[in-house]
Amino acid sequence: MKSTLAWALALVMVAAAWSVTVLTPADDAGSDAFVTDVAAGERGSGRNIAATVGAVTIAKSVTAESGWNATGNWVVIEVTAEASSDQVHGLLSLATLKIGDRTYSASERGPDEMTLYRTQLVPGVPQTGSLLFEVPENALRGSGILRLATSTTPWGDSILQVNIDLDAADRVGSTQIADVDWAAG
Amino acid sequence: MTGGWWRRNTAAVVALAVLVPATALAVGWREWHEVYDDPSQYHRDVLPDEDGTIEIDGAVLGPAKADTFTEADGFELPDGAKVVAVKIPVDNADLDDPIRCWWPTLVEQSTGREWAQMSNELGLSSDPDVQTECDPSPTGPYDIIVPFIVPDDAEGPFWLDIDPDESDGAFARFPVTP
Repeated sequence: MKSTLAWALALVMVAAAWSVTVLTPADDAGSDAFVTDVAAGERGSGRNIAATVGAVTIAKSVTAESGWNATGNWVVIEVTAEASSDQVHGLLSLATLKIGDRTYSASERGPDEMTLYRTQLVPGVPQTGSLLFEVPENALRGSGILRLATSTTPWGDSILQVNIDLDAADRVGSTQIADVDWAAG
Repeated sequence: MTGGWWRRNTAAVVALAVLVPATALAVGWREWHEVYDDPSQYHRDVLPDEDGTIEIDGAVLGPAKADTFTEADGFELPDGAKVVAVKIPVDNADLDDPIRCWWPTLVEQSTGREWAQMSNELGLSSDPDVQTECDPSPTGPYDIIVPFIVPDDAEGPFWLDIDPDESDGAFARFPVTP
């Protein structure tokens, strides 16, 4: 009887130790980002970012207002964004598109005013612009995940995550990219 | 039996009763001291005197004055936004060591929302008479004028913060209401 009790107790203790190991978060869990899922066309907001994703266009050639032009496989995503609290730390410095296992950063090619990437967002005053992603041709189908944040390493900070349906995107030969501007009220 | 144990270990128990809180206090004080008592570790605001001025980093700043401007004043502005501009007089005590500072920021007191200056976007940056930050060259009294683009719902009162380069974490904070 006594040894049965000892065995049962030992098993309970092993099970408890095992569940503590399983349940313990990873060492770096404290710096995980707060990811907010947002539907395309809806406004999502986080600690220092609020954004709405608009039209998605796939184009073979993009032309900026300044006349700058580049051919390739471009995914152009219209975004309206503002900061929530702090303009100084409100640079849209994270804009990535994950298609399959690959993650693409927003393109830095072309004139700065053509892309919302690395634009300083203003609290309460939204700006509209495009994010351009240059991707391989075989990546242009299925769906992708757009992630937006106002820090490159959003440790403990907000990330807005938007599902982008590439199959439903407009496919055009060439497209004109409007410069970043204040969003129409 | 129990009484005997306590009597035999009186010295150790008393030592424990002293040492445990002392350890906690020593560790706690050290942590506190590193974070809060070292001026380089934190920022503290300096508010204006009765005459509206702040003496900081060898200069007298203020009094600060804020005004609101709209499209009617000739600015090209987004819908639902206005310009809040703040003027801060600067007078260096020692012209050989003028105050240097970052761009001032505007903080809404009720929400903590913080704006950076937008003279570039407002087409004011080419104006040589408009100083948007501290002038690092030895110069007599001058005015810093910083414009911010804020939404219409930001009505103030605001704080105008100026953070000098060499002030051990102290920054000037002017309450302003346009």
